[in-house]
Formats: sequence, C-alpha cells, structure tokens
Amino acid sequence: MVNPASSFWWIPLYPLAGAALIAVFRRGVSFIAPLAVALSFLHAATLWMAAPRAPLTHTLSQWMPGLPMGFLLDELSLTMVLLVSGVGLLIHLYSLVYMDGEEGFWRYFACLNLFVFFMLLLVLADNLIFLFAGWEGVGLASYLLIGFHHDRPTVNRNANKAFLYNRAGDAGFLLGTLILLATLGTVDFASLNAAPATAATLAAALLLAFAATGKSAQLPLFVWLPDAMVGPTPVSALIHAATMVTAGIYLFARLGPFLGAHPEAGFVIAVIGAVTSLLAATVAVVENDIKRILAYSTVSQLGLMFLAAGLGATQAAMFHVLTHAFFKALLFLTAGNVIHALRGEQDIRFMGGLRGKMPWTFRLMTLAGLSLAGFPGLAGFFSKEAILHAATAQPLLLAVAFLVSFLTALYTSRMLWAVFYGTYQRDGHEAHGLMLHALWPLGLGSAAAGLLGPSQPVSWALLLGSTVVSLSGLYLGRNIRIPGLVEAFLKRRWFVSEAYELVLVEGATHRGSRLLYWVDRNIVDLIPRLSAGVASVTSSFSAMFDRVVVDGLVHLVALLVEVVSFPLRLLETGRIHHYALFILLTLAFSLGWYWLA
Amino acid sequence: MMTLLWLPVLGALLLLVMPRKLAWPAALAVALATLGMAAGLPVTATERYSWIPTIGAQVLLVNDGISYLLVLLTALMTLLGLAASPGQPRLFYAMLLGLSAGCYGVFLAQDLLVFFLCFEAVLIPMYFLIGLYGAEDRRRAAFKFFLYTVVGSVALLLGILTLYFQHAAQTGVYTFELTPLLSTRLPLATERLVFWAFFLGFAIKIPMFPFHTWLPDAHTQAPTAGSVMLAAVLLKMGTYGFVRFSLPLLPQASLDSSVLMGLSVFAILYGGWVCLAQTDWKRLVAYSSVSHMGFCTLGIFSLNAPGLEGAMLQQINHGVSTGLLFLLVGFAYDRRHTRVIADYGGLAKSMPGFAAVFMVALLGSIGLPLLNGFVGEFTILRGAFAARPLAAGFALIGIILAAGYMLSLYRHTMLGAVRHAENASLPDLSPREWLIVTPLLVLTVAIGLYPAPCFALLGGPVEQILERLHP
Repeated sequence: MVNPASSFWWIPLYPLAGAALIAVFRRGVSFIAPLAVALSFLHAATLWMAAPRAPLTHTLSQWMPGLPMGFLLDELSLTMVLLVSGVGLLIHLYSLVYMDGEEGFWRYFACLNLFVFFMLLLVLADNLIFLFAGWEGVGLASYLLIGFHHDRPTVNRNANKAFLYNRAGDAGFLLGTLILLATLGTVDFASLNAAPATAATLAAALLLAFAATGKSAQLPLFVWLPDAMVGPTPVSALIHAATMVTAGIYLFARLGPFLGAHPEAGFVIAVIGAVTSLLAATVAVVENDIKRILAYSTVSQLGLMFLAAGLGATQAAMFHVLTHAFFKALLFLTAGNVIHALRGEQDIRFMGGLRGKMPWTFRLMTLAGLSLAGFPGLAGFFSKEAILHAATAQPLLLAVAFLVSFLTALYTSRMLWAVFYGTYQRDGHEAHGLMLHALWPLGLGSAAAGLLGPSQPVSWALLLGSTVVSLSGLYLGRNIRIPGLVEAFLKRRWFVSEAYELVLVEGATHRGSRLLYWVDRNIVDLIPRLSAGVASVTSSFSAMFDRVVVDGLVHLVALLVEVVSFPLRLLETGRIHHYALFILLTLAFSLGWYWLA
Repeated sequence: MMTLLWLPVLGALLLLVMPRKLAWPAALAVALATLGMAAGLPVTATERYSWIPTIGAQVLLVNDGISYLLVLLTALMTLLGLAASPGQPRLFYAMLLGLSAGCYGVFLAQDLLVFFLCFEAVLIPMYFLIGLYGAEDRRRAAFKFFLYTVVGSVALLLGILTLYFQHAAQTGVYTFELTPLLSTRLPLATERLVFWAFFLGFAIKIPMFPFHTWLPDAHTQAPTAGSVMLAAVLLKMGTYGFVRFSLPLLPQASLDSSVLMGLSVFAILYGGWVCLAQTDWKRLVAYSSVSHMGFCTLGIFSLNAPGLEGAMLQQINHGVSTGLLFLLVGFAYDRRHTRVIADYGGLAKSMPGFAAVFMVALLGSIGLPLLNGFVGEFTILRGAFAARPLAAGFALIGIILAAGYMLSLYRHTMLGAVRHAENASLPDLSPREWLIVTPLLVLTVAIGLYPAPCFALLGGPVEQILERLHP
C-alpha cells in the first residue's frame, strides 16, 4: 500500500494518464475520464482527513539548471486541489450527458482531463517557473476547449484570442520570473515570501500582477473571457468560472507575504480589480446572451477578489474563490440545462416562463443566483462580506465594492426573471440524469460554503449595508429600464475590445505585418540584389578587361608571330622543285661566299 | 569519427551505380548505420590524420558535448529526410547522404581548413537538391542561396587565412588547428576585422537579419528533405561556428557583443512579425526560423553559461520542431500539391492524426512549458537577462508573436469547415509517416520534461569557452 502522503505528487498524474489513455485508445472514455479526476479527488480527500496536516514537499527531478520540478501541498494548495478535482469531477459527470453524441466526444474528455492535470500542477508547484508550466498549460487546454466546435464561425478566432491575451500575460510572468531569478537567484515560494523588497522585486511583483490580469481576465487583458463563451457550456463552468480564471488570485495568495512586502503593487492590484469589477458589472446589466452575462459577472467577481487580495486580504479573496466556484459553476451548468432544453438558444429575450417546465433547474439556478447576489445567509453573502471588510480601510474602494454588489444583484435578478418568469416562449423540458444530479453538491456548496470561511470580527454595519444593497438590487432587477444612450454605450463594452481590435489586430497584425513583409522583399532583399548588381557590373568590366587587355596581349603575341613568320611562310610552298631550287641556290650562295672570302 | 564522414560518401557513390529500385532502401540503410555509429561515438574523442604537412594542414576531428548533439541531430534528420522522400532519383539520395557527410565534417573538425572545406562542400549538394529537385522557381532560389553563402564563405576564408598567417608570423609554425591558434595575439583592430569576417560567414548561414532573405526563397523551393536538412542542420553551422571558433579565437572582439544582441532581438521580432503576413505555408515556417534562430544568437552573445547552454540546446530544439514542421508541410504537399495556406482549411476533419501531430510540433515550437522549445528559450532568456535585461524584455514579445502566427497558421490550415472539396477526403498519416514523426514527437516531449542529459553534455564545453572569454 502506497502512503498517500508521500505520494501526494501523483494527484495531478491521474488525469494526465487519463488524457493519454483517451487520446491513444479513444475507448472507454465515459469511464476513464471521470475516474481519473475522481482518483485525484479521493487522493486529496484522504490527505484532508488525515490529521494533523503538515505541509508536504517532493522534488521530482531537476528541470532546468537550478530549477527543480518541485511539488508542495499545504492548506492553500489542498483547498485548491479539492476544489479543482471536486468541481472538475462534477463537471466531467455533467458533460457525459451534455456532450453525449457529439462528434469528437473523446477529444473533449481528453482535453478536459488535460486541463485538470495542468490546473493541479499549477496549484501544487512549489516554485514560480514550475507553476508556470501549469499556468500556460491551462491556457492551452482552455484554447483547445474553446475551439472544440472548430467548424462553427468565430469559434477559432475567439479561441486564438483567448490564447494570445493569456500569452501576453505569460510574457509578463516570464519577465517577472527572470527579474526574480536574476536578483534573488531562486524562485521557490518559500524564498520569495521571505525576500526583502527592492525596486527590482517591486517590478517583478507588478509584472506578476500583469500576468494575473491575463489569466484572471482583468483590465487590461480581460476581453478574451466573454468571447471564450463560444466553448461548450460545461467548459465555461469549469475553466472560465470556477478554476482557471482564479489562478491569478491563487498566485496572489501563494505569494501573500511577498505581495505584502510590496504594498504599492498590492494597491495597483486592488485598483485594477475595482475598476474591472465595476466595468464588467455595468456591461452585465445590458447583456442579453445568458452565457455572456455570466462571463461578465465572472470578470466582475474576479475583480472583487483582486481588490481583496491587493489589499492584503488573500484569505478573503480565496474564500470568495471557493464560494464563487460553487455558485458560478452552478449558474453556468443550469444555464447549460436551459440552453440544452432550448436547443442552443442563448438570448434571454427569447426565453421566459421556464419555471414550470424546468422546476429543479429553476430552483438550483435561483439558489446560485441569490448566492451570487449576496442574499443574506447564502455562501456568497459571507465571502462578499469578507471582501467588503477587507476594503474598509479604503473608503473609495469600499464604495466601488458596494456599487458592484448592487449591480450584481441587479443583473442576476434581471436574468432570473427573464429566464423563468414572464411569457412562455419556447418549448423546454427538465434536464435529466447526471445533468441534474451532478448539480446537487454545487447547490449545497452555494448555500452552505459560507461555513468554510475564515473567522473574522463581525461588522454589523457592513452586514446591514450589504443586505440592503443585495435586496434592493434584486428587487430593482425585475423591471429594469436602462436609458438608451447608456445602454448603447455599455453594449459596446466601453469600447475596450474595439480599441484592441483596431490597434492589435487591424493595425499591427494585418497592416503592420504586410508592410514589414513588403519592406523585407523590397528593401532588405536589396542587399543581395544590389550586391548582385554590383557584381554583375564589375564582372562585365572584368570581362571587358579580359577581352581587351588579357586577350589583347595574347592576340598581340600571335600577331607578332604571324607578322614575323609571314616571309618565311612564303618559302614553304610544298613543291619539290622549289625546294630543289632553294637547295641549289643556297649551295651556290655558300660556295660563292666561301670562294669570295 | 573518420568513418562517420566516409560512410555516407561511400554509400552515396555506391548508390549511383545501383539499380534504381534498390536506391531508396539502400540509402535508408546507410543513414541508419550512420545514425547508429553517431550514437555510439564516445562523447570526448580526438582523431588526428596528417594531410598536407607542408602547409600544416591535417584532419583533426574532435567530439564533445556540443558536437555530439549536433552530429546526432544531423544523423537523425538525414534518416527522416530520406524516409520522407521515396521514389526519387538515385542522385537525390546521393546528394542527401553527401550533404550529411559535409555536416559531420563541419561539426567535428577542429582544424580550420577542414572545417572551411566542409562548410563549403555542404553548399554543393544543397545547391543541386534545390536546383534540380525543387519547386517551380528552383533555379533562382538555388542561385541566390549559393551566391549568398559563397560571399559569406569568402569572408570566412579571409578571416581564417589572416589568423593562419598571423600565427605563423608570431611562432613560425604554420597550422590551422584550433588549439594552437588560440595563443595567437592579435592587435584589437585586426581581431575585430577577423571577427566581422567570421561574422559575415556565419551570420549569412544562420541567417541573421539583414542577411536572411535567401532563406524564405530557398525553403519554399527546396524539396521536403532539402527543407528539413536546411532548417534542422545547415542553419546550425552558423551558430556552431560562432561558438566553436569566433568566441574562443577572438575573445576580445566577441566581448563587444551588444550590437549582435540587438540584431538578434530585432531578428526575433522582425521574423515573427513578417510571419503574420505570410500566405505560403513553407515561407511562414522559414520566417519563423529567422525568429527562432534569433533566440539562439541572443543566447550566444549573452556570453554567459545559461545563454550559451540555452542557445546550444535551442538549436537542437529548433532542428526537431522546425524539422517536424517542414516534414508535415511536405506530407500535406504530397497530398494536395500546394503550399498556399488558403488552399487548406479544415484538415482536422479528414486528417485528425496529422492535426494532432501538427499541434504538438507547433506547441514545441512556440515554447509551451514541458515541451522542448520552452527549456531552450527560457534558459537563453536567463542568460540574456543577466547580460542585458532590456534585450530579454523585448525578446519576450517574440513569444507572443510566435503564438500569434502559429495559431493563425493552424487555424487556417487545420481548423474550420472544409472549404475545398479536395480536402474532405485526404488520407490521414500513413504508417510510414507515423514512423517518421514519432522520433521527433518523442524528442519534443523528452527534452521538454527532462533536459538534464543535454545540459550535462553542454556544461563542460561551454565552461571552456567561457574561460576564454572571461579568464
């Protein structure tokens, strides 16, 4: 029997093996995929039950010089492992029915298992660069799953967009890591959290914050998340709501003391969170696509977590990560039931009156929605209260957080009323089997996960305030009317996406690259062409020199020989009697000479 | 090691008189035997044969970690290139084998004359591979390739001769051997001159910006095996030359490397950006090579251990990934006879195996962690950051660009609906093609997960070079 504690680093390997088996054999998918994730969950659960729990470490091998593949399991990573594998398991089960009969069923589960592997790697890594392996890996799995229906329009474009915005963040991650490696010589979390603050480490902290805005969809890199909703709905629930997008907050929690040593970076993170949160919440109020409402809501909630983490309350942020995972996954999956029932319809204007047709989906979604809206007593109420509590020192940020809470209640209520009340428009039917039963644990979490929160002093003013805000938002959301101009502006999502599109896609990618390619072919290529030209001109000169001077000399010699030989040649006639005559004449001449001399 | 040079040449000569049908299997057998022999080479070995004693020329072959990896890469890519080219004339196979022999010479010789001769000799088979067996515009491309590299070679030869005569003037000994030449004391101005002469020779081969324009033409026109050898092996002759000869022989001039780091970063960004405008599959991969080789030169001119080790590892990674990419383009070309990206689309439907392999190759190439490219690139960046933080910062933009052009290529060839009816019924990878890609896939993953053996091979030689630079 293997000791579960010393083999804790196997936890991510089960889904990896699952993904590999599925990809190779493409058989037994509906058995292998959930089983792999269940094994991870059970392994982690065994460790959770074991008391007392001491942090576990394991170094697998040396990856790059001085950078090991090291694993670390402590309270923080154990919570995340349970969350990822637990919610992951439920979503695997849900997907068995949701994706049934789809072409590429095996591919879907191979990618989903692969995602769980990378996510578990991310939360179990004991140093920054090994964490990065999971960090980019979840981006890859997200890309593959967003693009699952790759023959549908805009899907591939959005998948690329998600990968590229993440990669921009990743570049910042790498630069931050390089700075830390160069200044501290190590990037394992224990050393980082003990390191003194310098200008260089501050720069690194800011760069890591930038990286987190990519993964966790915050300004300036948040635009990919709403577009990622073209992926299958269970994927949106798992990756783009419950787990991957919280990686940024996990990073802040992991580096808590390090960030604490850099309050400037923390403040920047808090402000980014507040602004993004507000922006996304306003957009969610006017969105009509149910999945995009939930996506903007996710961006907004992640903003609140950023706010808390930036102000040093990483426990509050992680608490919200936990409750948010329950209620947002539940919201997405119930939305998936609705979309499934309506055969792909996602626009809430074409929904309505489904309360009677889908009673359990209605109850669960309402529960999750109320939890999101911070209805008193539900999980979201407590975690949001913890965040508000963290923001009390910064009145402006506290005000933003209250405003966001109000808007959250507003858009949640608007969505719920539009889907389940009003006039009945389309044929719908209740989900069955695992698509319903996989949701119960999430419902339980959405209601009761508030019990898991860190203990903190109760501030009655905050409790009262957030209750009032939540209830008024829920009440007003039923019949909300937004002025046309404001709506039009918000519908364009504050023009952030358009601005990027113009600069990055149209400007840099299309025009810029074509211009540069033209330069390459017509200007840089002048080097060989010009030198070829020079070579051919000089070679024609040298050819001329060759003909005139070199050949000329040869010809001159030949000519001289010719000239000199001409008289002699006249003698060479080839006739015997001429030769006889020459002989005779020569003889006579020489005899005469001799005689005369 | 001498047999490593002779075996492919003998094989090539034998091929020419063989029956045509036997030529391909025979060539494969020779390549396989060479690969086995290369793998069996002792990692540190020296062989010396006298050649022309009057001018001090000799054949000196030395193996070390850097050479060993490159020799293995050459042997593997030769075998795979041959395996990917059935049904070609005997001369084609002979040329490919001859090419590999020249490459072994380049990577093993530590006598500058032999190095130079092999450096040149490689040109001839490559010229014919492109010029005889290439695509529609092959003559022009082959000629451009030949002229460009010959110009570089002339500069290189002048540099070598300067060293040779300077050494003779100082010691009275005429030799081309690397080790004695190290003790030559050159005035800094002369050293710089020789450095830039070497630079021209090597930079054209790599190719570094702005001497790269022959590469896209040569790659698009070359046959598959030619592209594979060109990208995987021939480009490395330049980076290898820098590391083996420029840095140790001319340390003072090399220390002055900020311009070259700048050029490298420029090449990374420029190559990547130009990739985004490409409509020709092979041309895109060719420009991506410019960008990736920029990482290699960036590492080299960081002049520190991570930079050099990373660069030496990354050139192997580039060989594996880009070699695989060119093989895959070749497979697609065999089926559709077009390189135009717009003629493809939706291949993942008809060729899922091909699409999966292409995805792995792509991810290795763009440096996804746990695959080969990342290990090399990150190590290079560590070196570059230690030398010049700003250079590393700009080079990082290159990895975003790489993801951009590669995913865009993948999207327009593999994904989406099938736009051309011909693409709907293309056969997936054949068993032979699977056999060809498998070793490269294994290497992609293996180097990415466990690069320690490679670093162990590179550590020693790199340390020796650094000792010359920073005594």
